[in-house]
Amino acid sequence: MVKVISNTGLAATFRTVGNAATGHNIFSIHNAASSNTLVGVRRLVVQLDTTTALTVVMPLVKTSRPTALPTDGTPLTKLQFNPVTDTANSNVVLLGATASDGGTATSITANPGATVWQQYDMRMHTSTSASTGQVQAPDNPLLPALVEDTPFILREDEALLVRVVASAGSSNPATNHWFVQCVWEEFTNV
Amino acid sequence: MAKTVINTFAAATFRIIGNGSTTHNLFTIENTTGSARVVGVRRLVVQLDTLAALTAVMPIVKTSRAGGIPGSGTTLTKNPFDTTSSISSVANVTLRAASGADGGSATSISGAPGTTLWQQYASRMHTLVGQVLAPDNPLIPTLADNTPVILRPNEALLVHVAASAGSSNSTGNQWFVQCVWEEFTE
Repeated sequence: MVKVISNTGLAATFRTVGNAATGHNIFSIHNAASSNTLVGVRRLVVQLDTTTALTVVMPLVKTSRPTALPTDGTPLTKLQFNPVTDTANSNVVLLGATASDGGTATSITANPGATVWQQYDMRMHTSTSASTGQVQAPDNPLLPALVEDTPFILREDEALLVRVVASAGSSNPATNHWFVQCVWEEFTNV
Repeated sequence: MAKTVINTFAAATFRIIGNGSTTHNLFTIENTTGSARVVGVRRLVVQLDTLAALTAVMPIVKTSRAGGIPGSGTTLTKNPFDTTSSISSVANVTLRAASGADGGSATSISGAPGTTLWQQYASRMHTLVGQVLAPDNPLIPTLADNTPVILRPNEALLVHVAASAGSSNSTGNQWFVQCVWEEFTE
């Protein structure tokens, strides 16, 4: 069997403000029914800046296969590594939870499944400028980094959902500023 | 010998609260007797958020081949990288965790560690000041991405916290472990 890649795409959410709830869907990617393509997710990362102190456990960011394809939210613009040679499939849809950096919520409707991979991100135990210094925001992988070479597969009618899971709503306040970004390939096996 | 990879899988524990002891089994992956497959562990990482200051040496998280097949704990859901039904995980491969819910009650794993294969510090807060980061901390060398650690039938890996004192693994410690493995035949 030969794998024929028709497109390698990138997309990034806008800066998404925390929703002060224990669950917050911040990103999804799905491969709609009858798409006639397979999707291999090769990188999925989250970053966070937070400007409020948090002295309880930080939220987990969990990736799962949701129980059904996500809806609502903001469709993200799909970019290509090589727009000259690649052909994007419109059945591959990515959703964010806001339509502008720091903008109003456009909630993604989806129920998470079993956790595939997860991340802590970071918290500020104290946040006064005199005591904290630099704040760093590294890439935090939402799928194991080895998916660069062993992609995570979405067949037709399958999706991945990224959800913030906080121990209390106050652990994901509006001063949490999230973004998620993704690289995927579309392919067929012939 | 030709290696035929059946599928690749991932699983993650829930958030596990420190047990206040010098030893705390967090996670296992095992391939039981009679399995028709070989397991190759390609990634095994731990993360920690800790809410209490600790001025003593931080715990070491140790990975070893368990002295026998572990028992009890919470059985984890196995997530295939590709859902094609004909390539699902074999029932002989089991993963266990020490809690059944994020921050939930302990579901202790029974299992005796063997010689340390790989180990990690995670983090500690010397004082409760500033930013807390929680990077992936590898529990097997990262080169296992391409050179997996092999579990043949009746073999298991055990991840346990080894603390110099029980107070060094207090309930302010919030652990999770996650794993990627492949199942293959030869």
